This record gives sequence, C-alpha cells and structure tokens, in this order.
Amino acid sequence: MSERPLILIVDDDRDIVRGMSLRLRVNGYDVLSAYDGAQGLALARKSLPRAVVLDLRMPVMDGLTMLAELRASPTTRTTPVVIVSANVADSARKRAMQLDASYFLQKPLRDGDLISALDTVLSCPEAAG
Amino acid sequence: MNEPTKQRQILLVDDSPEDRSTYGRLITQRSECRYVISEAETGAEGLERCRRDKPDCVLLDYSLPDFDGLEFLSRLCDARGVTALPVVMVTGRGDETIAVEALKRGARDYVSKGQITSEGIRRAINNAVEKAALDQKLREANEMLAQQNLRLAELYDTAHQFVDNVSHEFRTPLAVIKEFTSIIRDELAGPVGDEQREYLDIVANRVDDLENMVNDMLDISRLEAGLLGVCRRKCRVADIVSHVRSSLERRAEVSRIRLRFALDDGLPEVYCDQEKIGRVIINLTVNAIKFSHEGGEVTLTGQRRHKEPALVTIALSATGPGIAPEHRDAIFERFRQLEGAARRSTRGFGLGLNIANELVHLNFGDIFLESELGAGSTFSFTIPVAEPRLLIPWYLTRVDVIREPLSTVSLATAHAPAEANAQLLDDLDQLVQHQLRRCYLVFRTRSWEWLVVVPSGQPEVGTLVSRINDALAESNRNRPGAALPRLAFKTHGTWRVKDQLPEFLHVVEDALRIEEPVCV
Repeated sequence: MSERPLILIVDDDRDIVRGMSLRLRVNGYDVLSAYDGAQGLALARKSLPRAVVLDLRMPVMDGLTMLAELRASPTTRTTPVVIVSANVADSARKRAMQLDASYFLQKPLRDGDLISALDTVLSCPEAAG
Repeated sequence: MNEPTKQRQILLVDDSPEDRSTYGRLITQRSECRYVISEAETGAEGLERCRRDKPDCVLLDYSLPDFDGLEFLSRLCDARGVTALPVVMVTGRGDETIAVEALKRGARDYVSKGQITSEGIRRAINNAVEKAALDQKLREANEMLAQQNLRLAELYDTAHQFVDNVSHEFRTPLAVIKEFTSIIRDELAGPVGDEQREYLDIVANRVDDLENMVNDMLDISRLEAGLLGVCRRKCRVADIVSHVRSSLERRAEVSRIRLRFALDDGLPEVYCDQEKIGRVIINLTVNAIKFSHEGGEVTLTGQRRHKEPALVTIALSATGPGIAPEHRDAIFERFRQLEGAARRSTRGFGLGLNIANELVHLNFGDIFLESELGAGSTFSFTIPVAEPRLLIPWYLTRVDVIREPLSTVSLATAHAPAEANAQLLDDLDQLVQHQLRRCYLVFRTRSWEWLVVVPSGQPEVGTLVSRINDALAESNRNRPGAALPRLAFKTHGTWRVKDQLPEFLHVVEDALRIEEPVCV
C-alpha cells in the first residue's frame, strides 16, 4: 500500500477532472482519471484504486452501470465509490445506494466535501479490502 | 331558424306502402322547407339506406317485418351507444312503454300513429335534426377539450422534465466555476492578494446564488408535480446551521453586513429534513442580507417557544428598510419582489421566500414576518421538537395543511433486530424514508425502531408494509455488501380524529413506554 492512496476519478467533463485532481493531489492523494464508464472500469480493474470518484451521466457507459460492474467483479466488489453527480433524480440516488455507493454528493460540491468524504471512506477498516 | 331554405332528406322505414305515402304527403304538404323522401320496407333495408344515404332524419315504424323498431335503434347505435342519426319513432296509439324504451335507445322523438298531423310530424323531425346537430357539436367540443387536456398534461410533464434537465445542465458548469474559483482563492495556483481574494469571494457568492436558484426552481417544479420527497429526521439545529454557515458568512462579508449566530444553549433536537431546512435558512439569510444597508446587522437566533414547547423558532432579524404592512402577505408569493427603494438590481427571480414557505410547511412548521418600516424585519419559522409525545399531537394539527382534512389516523411500529450493525440500520432508515409519502410521520424512536403514523386518505399500513418489504428485497438483491436487516411491523389500530384522539395518543404513549426498558 503506497503512502499516498490512489483515487480514480471518472467524469466526462475534463475541467471537473482537472479541478478535482488538483484538489486531491494537494490533499495527499494520487490520482488516475478516466472520461467514461468503460475506460473507468478498465482502469479500476487494472490499477485497483483505494476509492473511485464517479460521475453518473457519461458517454459509452454511465456511472451506475460502471458501479454495477465494479460490484460484480471480485477484485472491486468492495472498493468504496463516491458518486459526484449533477443528477438530482431520487431513482439514481436509490440505485446508487442499492449498489453500496459510500456517498452521493451533488454537483456543485461544497468546499471540502469531497476530501472529507474520501478521508472518511478510507479511514473505515473495511475499506482497505 | 332558417328552416324554410333548408333541404332535408327523410327516410321512411315502414312496411306498409299506404302508411309511407301518408307520411310522405303529411311531411311535404304545404311546407316551405324542401323535403326529399326516400323509403325502405324492412328493417334491414332501412339500416342499409341509413349507412349509404346518410339521411337527415329517419321516421321509423315500430312494427317491421324482420325486426322491430327498438332492435333497429340498437343496431343503428355505434360502439359508444350513440345514434348520430336522428330518429323519430312511430308508435301504436297510446303505446307509451315502447315510446319510452325508444327514447332510451336513442330515438329523438316519437309520434303516435293516428294522431299525426302535418305540422306535428314536421316539428318532430325538425326538432330531432336540430337536437342531433347540437349533440354532435357538444361531442366535438368535448373531444377537443379532452385532446387539449391531454396536450396540457404532456406540456406539463415536458415542463417538469425541462426543469430537471436545466437543473442538471446548469450544475456542471457551476461546479467547474466554483471549483476553480476556490482553487485560485486557496492559492493552489500561486499567491493571491487581498483584493483579488475579495473579488473571488464575489464570484463565489454569485455562483452560490445561481445554485440556490436552480435548487428553488427544481423544488417548486417537483412540489407542483407532487414529487418533492422529504426526509424528516431527528437532528440538531446547530448541525444544520454549521452546514450552511461558511457560505453565508462569506456573503455577508462581501456585502459588509455583520452576521451573528445566536442559538440558545440547550436547544432540543428537532424533527425535520435537514437539507430542506438548511435551504430555508439560506434563502432567509440571503434575503436579509440583500435588503440590509451596508454596515447593517443580520442575526440568526434559535430558541424553543415558550408558549408552544413542541416547537423551536429560528429567526433572522435584519436592520434595514422594513416591509410595509400591505406587502407582508404578498411576500411569500411566487415571483414576487417588492418594488421601491428597497429593491436593488434584479437578484433572484422571486422564488426564494415562496419556496422557503413551502419547505417550512413540508416540515410541519409555519413561517412569520414581523417588520417595522425604517427599522428592519424579522423572518422566523418554526420546526417541531423531536420528542414524540409533543411531536405527534402537533403533527395531527398540521397534517391537514399539506393534505385534505384528516378523518382517521393509524399507528404502526417497525422493528429491526436491535443488534444489527449501525451503518446498516442507517441505510435501512434511508430506505424506509424513501418509501414514505410526505404526509406520513415516521419517527425513529431508537436506532432499530420506527413509529409510523398514517393519515387517512393514504394507502393503509398493510400496503405500506408490503411496499417497504418489496423495496428491502429489491435492495438486498442488488447489494454487494451485507444485507439490510428485515423489519417486523406491528399495527396498533385506526382511530377517528373527531372523537378518538385521546385513545390514539394513549396507544402512542404505550408504544413509547413499553419499549423503554429494552433500550440499549
């Protein structure tokens, strides 16, 4: 386990990815990024990040499908996932909850929300698995 | 009306050639209107001619060789049971029963054989034709209305969908602006001077404004569509305030307003939707700051009501121009911004106070305004204290505000295994809240126990239980981690609000007391 936990950011908006990456790096995380669900899934399976920050509405494969895929494969079954989405539908929130997303954060984020969500998620003992 | 100039095609259905010729003669005799007469000898032939020639009116004898006049009428009706063709029935003398039956089956009028006069038969025919034409118009108008209704319903759905989409599309750029503003402000991209920081704060405030507007718009739209979910829980006012505090402080600072927070010590826990009440506080504070003079002061206070211990009052007092008495009621209306000196620029579009009002009602509270012209205003609202013995009676007085008047009330309790994992119980709580309508009262009395009050006019407890169990099963099918624990329901009964409330409250009391010693 590296000292700087590896986080995978999956969002089709490159500006969002850039801003979040900068934030996370400053706060002591290493960051990988992907711009759609399929790319994100492949990267998650290959690099096994400590946590995934996931958007919902994306091309190729949307976030909920990617989350379901993560849950279906043994190596990523328990990887903590923080949803960061502009989607406000209750159905999306429910579905994310069913798939054991750790947090469902609404865009725009409030200062510090993402960092504290990740800090919490990574401090849980079961998150290490 | 303009009868004399009209030409009317009349079909005579009668098996007697003598009768047909008599009727024909009576109809056309000395008439200013032109009647074209055609004839049919049997019912079948008559129906065929109706279809082919589409006469303006049928004069129908009751006795026909193949089937009788009533059967003829039935066969003439379309699938909706409507005869578009006006029919005048000729009945035997004094045979009222047949006449009545004929009218029931769609005949427009009847004449009695042997009492037929030229004028009488023409009047019957003309009336029948006009009535049928009016009916037709009415049917068309109805159809048009039905179609327009459908179209309106579609537009309404589209509008709500549109608001949802706009909300989504606005949030992403807002997120980017907000993130990079704060990245610069936090000096992640190099040093920033004080003046620059101040300007960045202005940007950040305005981004917050936009975000609030998007949220207000979305809530209004959902409220109207009946889709606005509300998740009321036991929570602390201090937590709600601390959640919104930093952004409000930044805003006050930029406007050079002193913002003070003064929550009473020992404020009891409240029962409300934290996010929604946070939005109410934002909207009222932003409003107070907006209408204060530079250098003014805005104070947020929170205290338990002396007169009504079931409630906590949160108030925002601001020094400022105040609001004239005649404007005080209108201020919570949608899209309303007061004209006059107090109004600066065009910030917001007037949804803020309206949605604050609606959100407070959803949380079983009330919103108030006190104001003195030239001195300032205080907006305040109440939320119930999270103490079931106070909360439930209060809820009963408030539930008709968001629903029709209450006639009965039912009580159920739900238990999960007390030893279940705390996180799973929280997830379960969230699931239960999601399944409930906004006029139910669900109170989590212990981490593993819920009290559910179901008002009349809503699906009964049984329906509720099966809905929650279905959601639970569905959730557990999809959950990769540990399954959510099962819930056991117990229904306690239904009471009339009018005269059985004391019994109901007694049972609530018992339900609360009996479990007490089990508390862990």
